[in-house]
Parts: sequence; structure tokens; C-alpha cells
Amino acid sequence: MIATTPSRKTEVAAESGDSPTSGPLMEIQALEVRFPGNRGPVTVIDQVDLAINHGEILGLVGESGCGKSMLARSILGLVPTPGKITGGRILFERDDLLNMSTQAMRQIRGDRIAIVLQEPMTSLDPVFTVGNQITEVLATHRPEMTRHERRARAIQMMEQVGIQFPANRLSQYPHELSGGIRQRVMIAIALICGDVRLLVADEPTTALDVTIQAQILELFVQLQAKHSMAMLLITHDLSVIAQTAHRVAVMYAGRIVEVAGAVPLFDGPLHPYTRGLMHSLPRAGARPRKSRMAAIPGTVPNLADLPPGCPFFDRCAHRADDLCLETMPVLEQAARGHWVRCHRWRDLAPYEPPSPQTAAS
Amino acid sequence: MTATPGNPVIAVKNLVKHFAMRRSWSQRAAVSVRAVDGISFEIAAGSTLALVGESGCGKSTTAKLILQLERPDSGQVLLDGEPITKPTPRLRQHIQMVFQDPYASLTPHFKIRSILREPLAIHRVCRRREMRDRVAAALDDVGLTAEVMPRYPHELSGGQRQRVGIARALAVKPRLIVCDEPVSALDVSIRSQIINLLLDLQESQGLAYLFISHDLDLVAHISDVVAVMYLGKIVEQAPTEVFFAGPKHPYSQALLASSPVPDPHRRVQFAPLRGEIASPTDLPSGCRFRTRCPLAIDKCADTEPPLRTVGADHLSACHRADELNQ
Repeated sequence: MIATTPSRKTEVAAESGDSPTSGPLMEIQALEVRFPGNRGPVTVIDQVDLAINHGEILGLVGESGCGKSMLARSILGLVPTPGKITGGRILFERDDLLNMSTQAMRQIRGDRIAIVLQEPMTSLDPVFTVGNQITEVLATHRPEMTRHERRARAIQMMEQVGIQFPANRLSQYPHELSGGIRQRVMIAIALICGDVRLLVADEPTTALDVTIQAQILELFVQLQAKHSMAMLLITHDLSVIAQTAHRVAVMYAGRIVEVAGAVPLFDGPLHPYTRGLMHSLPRAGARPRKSRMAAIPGTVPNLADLPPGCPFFDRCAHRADDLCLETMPVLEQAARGHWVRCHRWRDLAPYEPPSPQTAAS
Repeated sequence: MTATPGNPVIAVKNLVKHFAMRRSWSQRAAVSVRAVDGISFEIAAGSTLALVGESGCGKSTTAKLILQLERPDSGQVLLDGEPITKPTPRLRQHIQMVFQDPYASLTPHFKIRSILREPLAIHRVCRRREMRDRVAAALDDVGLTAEVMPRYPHELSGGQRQRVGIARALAVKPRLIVCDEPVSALDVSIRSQIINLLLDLQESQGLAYLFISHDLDLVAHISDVVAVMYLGKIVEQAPTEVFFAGPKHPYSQALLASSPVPDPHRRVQFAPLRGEIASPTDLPSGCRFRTRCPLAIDKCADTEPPLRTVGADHLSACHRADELNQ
């Protein structure tokens, strides 16, 4: 069973990792998160095994409600009540985050693990200045620094994330800034301690316009390389993943259904759900204009009412009736570093990518 | 090819809408936000015009002006060739809207049945006793069954709710549907279902769509004509194939280059466009795009480029459009 051998999944080693430490930076093992429901507990994250290597961008894709944001919150120890982590381990630099005291977790959060959230409009506090909110992190994690040092460091960090006239911006309030600048401020807050090993970015560009999204993604890729940190990039947008991630994990109904390097995943997805997602992307020139688009039928299942077998069963075009309905498939290694949770991946026809794109730009 | 054969369902001529605002309580002089600043287009029956642009470019204000939710400062909206001056019931019946967020656009304490009966009653589309059948027919058109009639919106999934939103728009047999980002709030696996539904309905009922979106890949697939807006003006307009074969405005080119490609073999290293959209209260002189434009020359600061023909059915507002060959 995979639960006992999660380290095998990290065979796609992190070549870009700067750390001499072998093995992954973070290992999530058999994580389970539950919320109380009307008819007993609802498992929103079920047996999730995932490793994040040193210095890699791991993309996590999935639809709303699939548990991807809850996974991010679990890593930061911020699962909202009444939710509870009911099983598993999260190993970060050999410590189990789930066994840590609140105090110890606070030391790590914001210093070595940081998060950038989706809505730069709501994740900044409207009543404090930008400078206040950036230096607050330093006041907590670097109490030995003087106010002057903190201010200087904030200006330096704001320059690094591409904010012009940082000294003037320090005294501004969030409402005075555009969405793009706010997101840059969020990134500055996340990285200011200078010691971040893992940056979790939860839909960091979803609320932004495409031209600004391109700028922010470029910034993430630059900063990730510069600070040689690992990044967990959570998004529903496969295009964003294709442009940035080294490896990709696909989530569906609280479970990881496929993990692979970005290129193998886009060239040859194995899980029927991943294939369905790839085919339902509108791609310029892939099919005649105004023709019907490939769609995954049905809707995402209710987590409180999952079948005993594969959660994708009733939307899947390749299901085998008894096996898929009754038995939950395990995450199997299909190729080196390519894991898939499907009974039938061996029987599927080789993946045919949507016809090549005619260059649109 | 273009949406201009014979009689367009809707035509917009030199539409202008400025909003007055004060910068602060002490500054009495009104500053105006030039949300929509002289735009024109036509949409024929059975065709789709896509309005593309960044937030704050005036897309939604344009939609509101067409729906007569805002009165234009100047310019005209023509429905079947007749100018509209006030929001009459007939107008409301002919122009319907599908909203972005299906979670916010259905009244939560109405059952689906009541949500769909309301437009029928208001527009006196049918007799009371026919209503049930009409509602069932509307649901059937959008791929839902009569089972959802006694349910509340919160009992439905996002995709189902968007189908109800479309059924509500369709129930009164409109000519034009304004679709404001109709799939951007939906999950990826549901989006294609709704797009297919919109395409089917257009074909079977000859509907015209004004499709507001920022997703260029989607626009390439569903529209007949693309109009790109920047700071209240249309900067480029062309039939979809022509547009995607070679846009003739540097902003359109930047938009295309900025939208991420779902292919890890084709990674873009650098963002194609620097800076952010200028404030609509404080427009740059000359061309509005020149502050971010990689091709700006002195002329761009002096003279505002007019929207002019640069190819068959192809309009662009750029002094250097002719130099832009892919």
C-alpha cells in the first residue's frame, strides 16, 4: 500500500534543490481531514500522500470543493473549526507539524512556511497601512530587529517583488492599491523573513486580469528560483500549472488521483478525470469554431455521499462496473514518478492530445 | 462573416457614459470617470459578439447601457433598428441577461418554479394555467428536468444553477442575451457543458449574444466577432478568425500573449505587458494605451488614434497598425 511507502513518490528528485538534505522537504502521509455533517462526519481529505521536494514548484489542481484549499490549511495548521485533522502526518524538515505545539507551529508559520491567498482584496487588513502589515511579520519572527531595520527590510522586499516607490507605498492603505500591487504586497509579507522554505500559494492569480496574472506568475517563478524555496501552487487553472509547475498533483473529491511531472502529465495523462479536464480546455484551433466542446458529464459528487468505490465512477467513460463501483483504487506507480489512482489505467487507449494548436499569438 | 448582414438585432452607436465623482470631500470640482467613451457595434441574429478587456475597461457598463440599466450620456442603442430611449417592458423582454455568479443571481428564498414563473407573469407571456408547462419546457431546453421545480437554489450545483439562470433568460423568448462572464465562476469540468448549451440554444433559437469575457481561448471558440476594449474605447474589432490570425493592435497582441497556454512545452518566460491599466479619471493624452505600449512613439502622445479600417472588416485604433504583421 502506498501509505507506507510515500517516499517512493519523490523519485522525480529535485535537481534544482539547493539543500544537501536528501529526501523531500515536506512529506504528507495518509492525511485525513473531517468535518462533522448532518449524517456523520464528512471526510474532505482522504488518505492524501504527497511529497514536496526542495526547490520545486508543485502544482495542485482540482475543482472547487475537492479539498485543495483544505490541504493548504492543513499544512499551515489552520484547518477551520469544526474541521479536524483525524489522521496522518505532515513531516517538514523531519518534524511532524501535526504533533507540534501551537507555540512551535507559530514559530514556523510565516517564517519557514508562508502562504499567499487568493483575494488580495480581503486578505489584507483595511485599517492598517501596508508598511504596518509587512513589518508585523518581522516584529513577530525577528524581535531583535529595530524599527529602522524592519522598515529598511520591508522596502528592500517591496523592491524585490516589483513595487515601485516602496518608501511611499509603506504609508498607504490597501484600498489605495490596485489588485496587482496588493498581491505583490501579499507576496512581500510571505517572503519578508527571508527564510521561507515552502511557500503555499492558494489561487494567487485567480482574481487578477490576464496581463497582471502573467506578471505575478513571472514574479513567482523568479522568486522561487532566487530563494530556492519550494512552492505549492494551488489552482483550478491547468494553463497556469502548465506555465509554472515542475510537478503536478490532481485532486478529485478529497483524494489525489494523479501525480506526475508537468511534461509527462500534459503529454500523457492517465486518469480519466485528468484526461477529461485536458480535453475540456478551449484551445485555439483545436476544433472548429462553434462546434461542441468535449465535456465531462455530470457534476462533482457530494462528499457526504460518496460511493464506496472510485469517486469519479458516475462521470467516467472507462469504468468497469463492479470493480470501480465497489473498490476504491489505490495510487499506483504507472511510470517512474507518475502515480495514478485508477483500476483501469492499463486498459486505456494511449492519450491523444487535442489536435495541435495553430499558433494564436 | 461579420455580424452585419441585413438587420442587426442590436446596434450601438457612439455610446458614451461618464460617471461624475469627487476625489475627496474638499475637492468640489467633479472628476469624471470615462467608463464608456464612444463605442459602436452591431450584433446580428444568431451571432455572437465577444467583448474582451481587463477589469475597469467598461465592458460591464456597456452591458448596462444596452439593458437600459444606465442611461447613456450620448449615443444610441437600437433594437431592430429602432432607437431605445427608456426601459420599456418590450425591451426587457427582448434583451435578457445571464449573470456571472449563479450563486448570487438567483433569489435564495424562491423555489426554482417561482424564479422561472416570475418573468412569464411580468411579461404576460402566457396564461396562468399554461405556466407550468412553459416552466417545464424552459427547464427542458436547458437540460434540466421538472424535478428541480420545487427545489431552492442552494439545493442545486453551480452548473445546475447557471442552467436555471439561462432558462430564466430564455423563458420570455428574447432576441439578445447579454452573457456577462457566464462560465468564469464555474468549475472547469462544468464550463464546457454550459458553453455547449449556449451554442445549441443559439443555433435552435437564432439568439444573438453579447458575450463578455476575459478568457480569450473561450472567445476564440464561441464568438463570431471580437471587440477589444481598453479604458472605455474599442481599440480593435474583427471577425474572430481574422482577429486570432493576426491582431492589429498592440494591446490585443499583449492580451493574447498574456493568456497562459496549457502546454508545458511552450512556457512564456516573461510577462508581455508591464504596468497596469491607467486610471479612467486621469487618462493619458493621445492614445490611452501608450503608457504601457511597447511601440509607443511621439505621435501617440499627441494624437488619439481613431478606430479605422486596417483590413477586411478589421478595425484598429493604432497609429502603427499597419506595421503590425505577425
